[in-house]
Amino acid sequence: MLVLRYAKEEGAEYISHLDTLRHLQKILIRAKIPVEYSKGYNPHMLLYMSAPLGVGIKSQAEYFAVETNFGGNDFPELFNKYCPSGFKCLCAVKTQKKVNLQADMDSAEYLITGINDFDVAEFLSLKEFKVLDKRGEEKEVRERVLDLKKSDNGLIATLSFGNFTLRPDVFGEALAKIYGGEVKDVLKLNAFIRGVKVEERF
Amino acid sequence: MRIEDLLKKAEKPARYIGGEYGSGGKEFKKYNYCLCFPDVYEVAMSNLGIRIVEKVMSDVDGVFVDRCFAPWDDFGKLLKENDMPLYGLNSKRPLKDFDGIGFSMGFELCYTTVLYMLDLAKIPLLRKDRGEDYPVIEAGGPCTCNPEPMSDFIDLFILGDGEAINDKLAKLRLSCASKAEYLEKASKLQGVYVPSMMEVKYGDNGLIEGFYGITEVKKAVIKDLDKAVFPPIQPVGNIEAVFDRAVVEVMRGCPRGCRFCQAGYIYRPIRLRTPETVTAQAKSIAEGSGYDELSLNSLSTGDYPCLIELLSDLKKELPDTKIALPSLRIDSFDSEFVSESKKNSLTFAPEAGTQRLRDVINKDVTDEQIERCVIAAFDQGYTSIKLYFMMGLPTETDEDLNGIADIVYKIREIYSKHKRMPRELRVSVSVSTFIPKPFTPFQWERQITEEEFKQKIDLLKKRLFVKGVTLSWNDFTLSRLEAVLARGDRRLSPVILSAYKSGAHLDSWSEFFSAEIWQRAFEENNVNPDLYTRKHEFSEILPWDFINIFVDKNYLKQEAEKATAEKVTGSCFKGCKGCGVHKEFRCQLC
Repeated sequence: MLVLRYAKEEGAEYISHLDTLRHLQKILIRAKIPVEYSKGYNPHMLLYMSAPLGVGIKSQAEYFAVETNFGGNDFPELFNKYCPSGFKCLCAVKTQKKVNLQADMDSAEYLITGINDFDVAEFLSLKEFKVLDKRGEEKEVRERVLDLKKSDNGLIATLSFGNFTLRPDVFGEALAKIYGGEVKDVLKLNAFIRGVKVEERF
Repeated sequence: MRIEDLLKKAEKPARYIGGEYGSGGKEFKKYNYCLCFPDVYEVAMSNLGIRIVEKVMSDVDGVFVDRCFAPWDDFGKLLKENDMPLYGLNSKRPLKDFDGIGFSMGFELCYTTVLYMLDLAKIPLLRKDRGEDYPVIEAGGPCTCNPEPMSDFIDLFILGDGEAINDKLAKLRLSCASKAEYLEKASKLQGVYVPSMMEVKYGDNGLIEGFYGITEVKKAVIKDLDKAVFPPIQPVGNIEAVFDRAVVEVMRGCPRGCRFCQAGYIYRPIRLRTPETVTAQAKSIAEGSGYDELSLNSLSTGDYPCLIELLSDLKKELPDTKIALPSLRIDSFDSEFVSESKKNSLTFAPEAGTQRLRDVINKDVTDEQIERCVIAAFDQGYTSIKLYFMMGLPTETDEDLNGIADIVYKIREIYSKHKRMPRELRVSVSVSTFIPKPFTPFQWERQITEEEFKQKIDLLKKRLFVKGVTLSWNDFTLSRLEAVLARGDRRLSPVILSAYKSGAHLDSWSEFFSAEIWQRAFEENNVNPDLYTRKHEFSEILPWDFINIFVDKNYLKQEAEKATAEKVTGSCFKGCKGCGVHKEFRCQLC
């Protein structure tokens, strides 16, 4: 199995999860990567993506895994030669381990910009924090905010991701409502499996 | 305001980001051209014509080609409300910054969408209001065989095959100092019509008296399709296109000569690509773009003389690629072609219900052929049949409509005899209203009225109210508008403008089409649409008579007379019929 980390920016963040899957399959065909297919009635590529990224969220930490006997070390170069603009393969790791990205990934780190300055320590001392999700329902999410800190460019938030996901844009909007400002950009910086970067797990 | 801020609010933002693999660069060059398709992304990305034109033009040194498609209503409104101009997908530059803009006009109901796009780009709609500062607005595609209804808006029309003219125009523009000089020089090229250089005079009866200035425009023709430019890779849509597959054109033109079919006449002469070229192109596109499905396009792919050879070559070269054969005709339906494909639904177009009417329209298909083909399909395991018919054809009577129902009953009877699957047979019957189109033998015919339409549909509804059969039909007002615009003259430009200003755009989408807006637009401009749907006399000067597609008007008259006499002409396979194209070109029929 080959596990890949790729970025989705410069417009590509608006491509939905299913269309991204379609693009990934076509990139692999163009690059002539010998991917295995299922043996069923409708054979499909054995390609597994990480949990969906919300449309409009930029990312430098998307992952997918493919069943392949591709032996070369130039996978990122091949991917980048054949991908649509905005996609970029950052690294590729070969592994014999069983890979289940959807189930294993549990948190992700995001850079959120556009929110006015506020006391992060005070926020972290809160016991409760409610957000309005995309359906307009109020949800208690304090437990899903794993860490929050300031950087030169904005806020860096580590939020739970996978089985219990807190969307960074939803979180950002809730912060903006309290502290002022407007979410300008959200960029996924890293994704983790039990505190370790995904690619370092394999 | 950034484009990004609008994208966040759009319904399907991936329509507006560009950057598809294989879609060309982002940087402006010496001459910058934006190809526009007046429909939404998913439809536009399936169009082969603009891909060919993009390739032809971008092969010229110093030319940059970008694309722009009609935004859906939500994004159109966002652009307008935020005062942002419509932009080229890859360069993200406003359309106004380009030197030239080319619209592909595939059918008449896109006309208001052309205005919608110009308006969103903040470009004046009328050509007389655009000086040297604005890009040249050009238009090509099948609709330009009667360009007159759009002549107030478009600076330059391109007629015929893009491969034969678009590169010449790009080179010419590079060498011209001004737009005026370019238009003047371009108007002398074969395949170019500059409407500002022609005048039309009308008589008291409202009919055309004559054309003045430029009085003849010949279409551009690429003689050798096999050597013609073809895009070696095709961009894959960021949203799945309507036809998300590799496309290769195997043949241009159609040998059948169905008397209602405009494409069958305006795409003459018949030109072929060799199986070797098609296979090489298919391989390049399928592998280069990553498609696992390939479509062999033409007006009648079953008539491509080397189809068997081609299919076996493709199987060798692209063993894992699914092959789609659109436009198969009943008599060319061969179990060999379909045995590979998915066995669910099969589509046929008998067009008319009786042998008599099929003779009138020169649709050379017999009842026996339909039967044989249906039996073959059931043997293959098909359980669903889709049938296309036309209604309101010249000389049609109730008997012909009853014939449609009889065909459906016959198919059901055959199915119960040849049942191979436990499933119930489903037949869907799709009926569209006949639209008389320019450059067909039926170009003088009238279109049926709304009362006749209702009466005919009622008859079909009564006869086809059967379990397992679904009947669908087109909206009559839409067909009528298409007829008016298809046979219109330049007096329709103000009508189209009024309709757009009252909100008409994306007319081919039922959620936007409004019959009232159009009716008001005709009234405001004192134009009676009946003038264009009535029966025309042979002696009249028709609005498109100044255009020469190389088919003789006399040949069309002869064909019209043969139709009235219920005589079949047959296909060009059975010998040249002398339509006029043969005087300048050779049709390639093996």
